Amino acid sequence: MDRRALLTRLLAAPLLPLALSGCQPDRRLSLGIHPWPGYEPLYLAREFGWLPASVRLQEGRNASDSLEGLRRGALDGAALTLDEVLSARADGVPLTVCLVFNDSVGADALLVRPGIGSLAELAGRRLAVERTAVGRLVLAKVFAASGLAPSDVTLVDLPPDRQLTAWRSGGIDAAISYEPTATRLEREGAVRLFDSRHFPGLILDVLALRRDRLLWYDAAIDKLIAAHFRGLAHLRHSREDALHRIAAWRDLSFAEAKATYAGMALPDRAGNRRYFGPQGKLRETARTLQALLGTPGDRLSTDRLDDLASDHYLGDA
Amino acid sequence: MRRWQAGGALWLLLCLATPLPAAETLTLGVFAYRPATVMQAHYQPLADYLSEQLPGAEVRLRVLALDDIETAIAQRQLDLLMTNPSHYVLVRSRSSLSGALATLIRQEGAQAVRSLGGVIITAAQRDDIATLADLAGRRIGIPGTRFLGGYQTQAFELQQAGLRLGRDAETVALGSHDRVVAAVLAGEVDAGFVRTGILESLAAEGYLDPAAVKVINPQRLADFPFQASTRLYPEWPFIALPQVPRERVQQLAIALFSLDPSHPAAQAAGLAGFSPPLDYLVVENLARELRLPPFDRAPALTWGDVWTQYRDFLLGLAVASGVVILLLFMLARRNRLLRRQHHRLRLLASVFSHAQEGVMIITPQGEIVDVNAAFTQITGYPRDEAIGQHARRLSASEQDRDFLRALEQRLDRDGCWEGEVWNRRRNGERYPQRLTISAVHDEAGRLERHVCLLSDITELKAHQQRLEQEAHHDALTGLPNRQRFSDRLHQAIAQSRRHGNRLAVVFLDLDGFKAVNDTYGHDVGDQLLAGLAGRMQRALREGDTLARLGGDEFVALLRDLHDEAAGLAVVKRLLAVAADPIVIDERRLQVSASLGVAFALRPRELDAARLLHRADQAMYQAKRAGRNRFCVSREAIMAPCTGPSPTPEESPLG
Repeated sequence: MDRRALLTRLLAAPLLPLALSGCQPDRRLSLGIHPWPGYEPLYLAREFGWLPASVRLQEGRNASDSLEGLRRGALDGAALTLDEVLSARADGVPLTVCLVFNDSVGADALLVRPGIGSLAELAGRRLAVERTAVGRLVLAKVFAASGLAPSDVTLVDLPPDRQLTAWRSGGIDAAISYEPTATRLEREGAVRLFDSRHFPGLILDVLALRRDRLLWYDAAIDKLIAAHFRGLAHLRHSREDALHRIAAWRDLSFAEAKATYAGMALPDRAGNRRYFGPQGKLRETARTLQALLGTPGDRLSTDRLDDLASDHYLGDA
Repeated sequence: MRRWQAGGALWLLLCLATPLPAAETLTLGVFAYRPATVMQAHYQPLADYLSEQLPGAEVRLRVLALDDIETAIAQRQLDLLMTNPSHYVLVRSRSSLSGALATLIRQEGAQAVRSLGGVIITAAQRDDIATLADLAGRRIGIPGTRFLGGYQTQAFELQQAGLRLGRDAETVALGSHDRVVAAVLAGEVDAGFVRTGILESLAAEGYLDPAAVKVINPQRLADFPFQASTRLYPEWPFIALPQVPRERVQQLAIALFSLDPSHPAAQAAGLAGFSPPLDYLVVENLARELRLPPFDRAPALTWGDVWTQYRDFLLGLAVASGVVILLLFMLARRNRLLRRQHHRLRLLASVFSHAQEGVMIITPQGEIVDVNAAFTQITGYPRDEAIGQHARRLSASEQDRDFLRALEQRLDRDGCWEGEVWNRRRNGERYPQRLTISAVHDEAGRLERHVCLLSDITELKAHQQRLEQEAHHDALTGLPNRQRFSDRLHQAIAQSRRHGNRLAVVFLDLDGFKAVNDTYGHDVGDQLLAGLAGRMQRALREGDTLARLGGDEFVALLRDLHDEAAGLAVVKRLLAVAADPIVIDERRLQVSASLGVAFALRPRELDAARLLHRADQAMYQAKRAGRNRFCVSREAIMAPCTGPSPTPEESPLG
């Protein structure tokens, strides 16, 4: 614990009885979250009561809900992909990455109707994609790999949670999706044509918190991150138990739940530290994303990435 | 060197243990969680299957209780082991087992299950038990405390919910899962713990109506065929003990992993086969958390752990302790101060009560609040009588209003007043008093009390008077001395100058006194002088002064003389009384006096030195003229003496 945190606690200590008496206004950390295998450790932590009372998970349907909450100021942080973090920063939300949930190595995928054998055959098809940075990122990779231009396909703005209905009704021919919807689509007969294994290290799911509110929630963040790693340990060591639960939550079979994790790496505390620092992968990935998603001169490209990440809450090695 | 020896010994042991491949026997120990006969029937086919699969080896089945397994392992009687995960963790810690070779997969209908958990049941009609918290204070039937799915998983879940078995709820060990279910249905216990799958098998076998029991704390688990009340743990491990050779272990692994669910051995044991071993760390953690053997000793708690877990609490505690210590310190300081003040007060109180000076404490309005013993002694008013009275009532009230006003002003201005006043005692006696009044203010500066110190200075006054007397009077006769006479003379002259009064100075010298002194001694002489002095004093008028100049010489000052005749009348009286006989020590003594008189009848004659000189000269003249007479000095010439008086007889030794 550094001196600042110590001072905060020392100052807070005499107010402890006040806090215990419960006459404080609601000063819980509000965290935007949506279903995603990388975030399941937090859901597990909530299930087992490991989340601190000072943290409230605001469950949205998808990443757009979390971004919207951040822009409105209703959320103090959210579980997002790194490119979404950069977009939010460009929109003026001062986000700092405090934790890496997972590195996508196949969990974000392009799923197509059987019969579409190659990327080039997407021409003229209706392609569902969420208008988020990660959607745009995968789309950019699809165009780059296929040689198609955006005008060659009909883009349908559909977040993953609504893609399944559209798929069943025949409204779309292909979808850029992520787990667990990707697996559900596969169950409906969709074929995985292209996924993040083709561009590893670019889709990082992170815990991003508003830098201007970090100080308020110092202790809560420590406990939140501890709860995440406890959930992650449960996912690792009580894998069967965890997967049975996750499958039940996400309406998947045990095998499907298990399969979703094939596409991602979930770094523990030690693994997390490697992403931080000047030489860490976070910064490198952020630069790549800037080049890929930004247009020269816009706020996303000109982000100097100061305060992009803080390993303060990961503790000492 | 030692390692080489140990290795050699082990090698030798292995050679001895496997002399003939065909005769090798491997003993498979299986924990009898159900009756031994049932277990034998379930697992013998598996032993047979392994015998078939392992070239040159026979696998023999032994169904054992938990304790027997431990004994058998200690005696190296077992080569292979299947037991419940928590028992595995225990045995591993005691006998350095290798890791599990495989985890068994149970077959449940169409589903294969690699996990087990606990179920908490109660009779369906028990509306009073719905959540974990409702189990507090209940009687709970369990198969036994060493059952993972029949006790430990539930105990862990309850502990997470804040309930501790044994402390918050009573457990009754019933020996088997079947009996637990029966006891719950019979109402012998309020609730029961069984392992996952038990309810479903009993229902399938027709022993249980699933609607008769309800599951507490049901878990939402996809693709898990059993109801569960707890989180899940890995199924039983299959363990090869360290003495089993590596080749055998490989053969065993192949045999286990290739067991098909349709194989009779799998069917008999209800297995779907074996999978690579799951992580048993979670079981170890559970045992640790519940303090089960081998973790039944409290873990060594480091300060670091305490700090990490209770950081905020400890910081709060430290700050609170700091505040308490600070307050205690302040309290101690205050106490010490109070003790000191108390001591000082006692001292002051003793000064108050034992002081020789009277002390009277009054309100600004004058009401007496307290007095001390000395006050009572001086004034005669007892304490009870004085308190509540107005101070003025005790005073002689002789002081006039102006005096009192001045006193008050002075008090207001300086906060104190000091002076001498006359007061009256309770018995009415007047006495001089030294009085000191001090104002006492409270912390806000308001006048609170007056403290009056009073002392009786009657004696002091008397003493002062004595001293004054001694300074200006002759010790023997009590008459004024030369000094005092000189003062009086100057005063009288000053008065005469202003008012035109006449005065006279009379020098008087006793005749024959020396003879008396020589004859009868100084004592008699002194008595004679004193006696004569008194007589002569009485012969004077009021306002006149007689002084002794020394020896037998006296001088008198006669004031306010109407004329010379008035003065001479006095002179004659003096002459007469001086010559009267006097009895001392029964002796009749008689002397006479020679007197010289100098009148100042005119203002120019008013000169002290001159008057004295003239009287002196006249006295000598009288002496020369034969004593016992007086001569009057005239301003111009020394008078022809004797004057108008009758001339007494010269009889110094009459």
